[in-house]
Amino acid sequence: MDQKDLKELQELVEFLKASGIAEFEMERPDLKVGLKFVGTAAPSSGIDAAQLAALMSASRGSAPAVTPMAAAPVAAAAAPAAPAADPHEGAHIVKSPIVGTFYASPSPDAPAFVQEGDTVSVGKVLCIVEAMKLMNEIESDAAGKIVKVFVTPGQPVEYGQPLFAIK
Amino acid sequence: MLHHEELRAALVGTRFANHLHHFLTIDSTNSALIAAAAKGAPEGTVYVADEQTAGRGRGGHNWHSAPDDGLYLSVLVKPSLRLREALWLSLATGLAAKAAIHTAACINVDLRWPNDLLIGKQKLGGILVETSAGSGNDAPLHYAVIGIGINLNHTSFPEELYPLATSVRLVTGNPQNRQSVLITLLRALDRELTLLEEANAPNANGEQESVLDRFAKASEWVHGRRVGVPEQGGYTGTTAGLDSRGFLLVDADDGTRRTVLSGGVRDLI
Repeated sequence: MDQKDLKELQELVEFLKASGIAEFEMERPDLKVGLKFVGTAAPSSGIDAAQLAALMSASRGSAPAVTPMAAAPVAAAAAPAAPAADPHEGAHIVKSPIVGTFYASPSPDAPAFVQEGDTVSVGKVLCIVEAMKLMNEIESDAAGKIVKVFVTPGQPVEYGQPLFAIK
Repeated sequence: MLHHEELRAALVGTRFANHLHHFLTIDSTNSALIAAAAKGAPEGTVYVADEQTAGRGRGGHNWHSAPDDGLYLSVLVKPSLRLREALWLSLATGLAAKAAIHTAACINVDLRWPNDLLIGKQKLGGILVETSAGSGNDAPLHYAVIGIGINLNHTSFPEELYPLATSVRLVTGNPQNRQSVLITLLRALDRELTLLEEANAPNANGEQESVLDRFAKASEWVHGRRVGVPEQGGYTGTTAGLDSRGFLLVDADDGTRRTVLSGGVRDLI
């Protein structure tokens, strides 16, 4: 598995976590992945099949069509917690309300609206997501500390994609 | 000159009649109106300026705003839409501007997705929409500031813009009355906003022609146009219609079908 695959897998894991999926398997001719999140307490908010497919076929122009598994949440397994505990457990995930391009700052040479470690209140502008030349300032729907920024400036984002984790 | 009382009288019955502000000069109507919106300015507020000293386009581009020659305005609206529906403000504003310019000057403006106003290959005007919204799947639109710049009476442009820009006067040969274009534009925009709200109301019957269908008919860029797309690393292809969300589809030359998300497209030739 090369660096690019690893990055894609990390993105997939973040997405599945944010969607509250407990178990996931996928198989491609060159890769087989099985994931099980132990002790996921967050209720499933459903999974965006299009986004999942996009993540799984990223950078593979003609990847075979993938049928996402049924989105019914699986009961959290009772097995002991895996050593790598979810660093964002209990965090509020701010999701993109639209498809578009993510920008961390109001203009290319301006400082970012927020950074990891910043404390934000409800209504604080976190980023801009641009779609159809509309520059949309996205406000925080939770108060707390930004513990993770999931996306990088200029990156395309999907509807419902996690942008920030706030604790 | 703008005659404020005449303007108000002509806009009675629209959302723009009561909160019209005219500036001789301003840095940017969009920037100023966003600041006012954050302080609670009401829906329907209009900022119109004779001159912008720091007019803005997309992504930090400047908008050339010579004194008195153009129509430079921003409006604050708060339609009851979710953000993903509010994206269509971008398309609806283009339709309003096209209709207004046709009424005022009898010329047919082409709409380059999502909302550039073109005559041939030259830009006659541009639109910049900036919104404030919540986050999450059904995030509501808090407000949108719609900025519109139309080149009306320019008889020349700075050298670097000359091949790229034109004005209504250069196209028609006739000087334009800024006030009447402003009135026509605001009335057309009010109508488009109402249509958009009605189409997305919970009890909408879906009988009216959607803004996407109307845009596709009004634009030479939606189907079968060879274009270059700067985003996603840059690619070329042929336009293939709008998807159900209003994004432009392009059959790229590498055989894949792609969706243009953010910025515009360019003529390949």
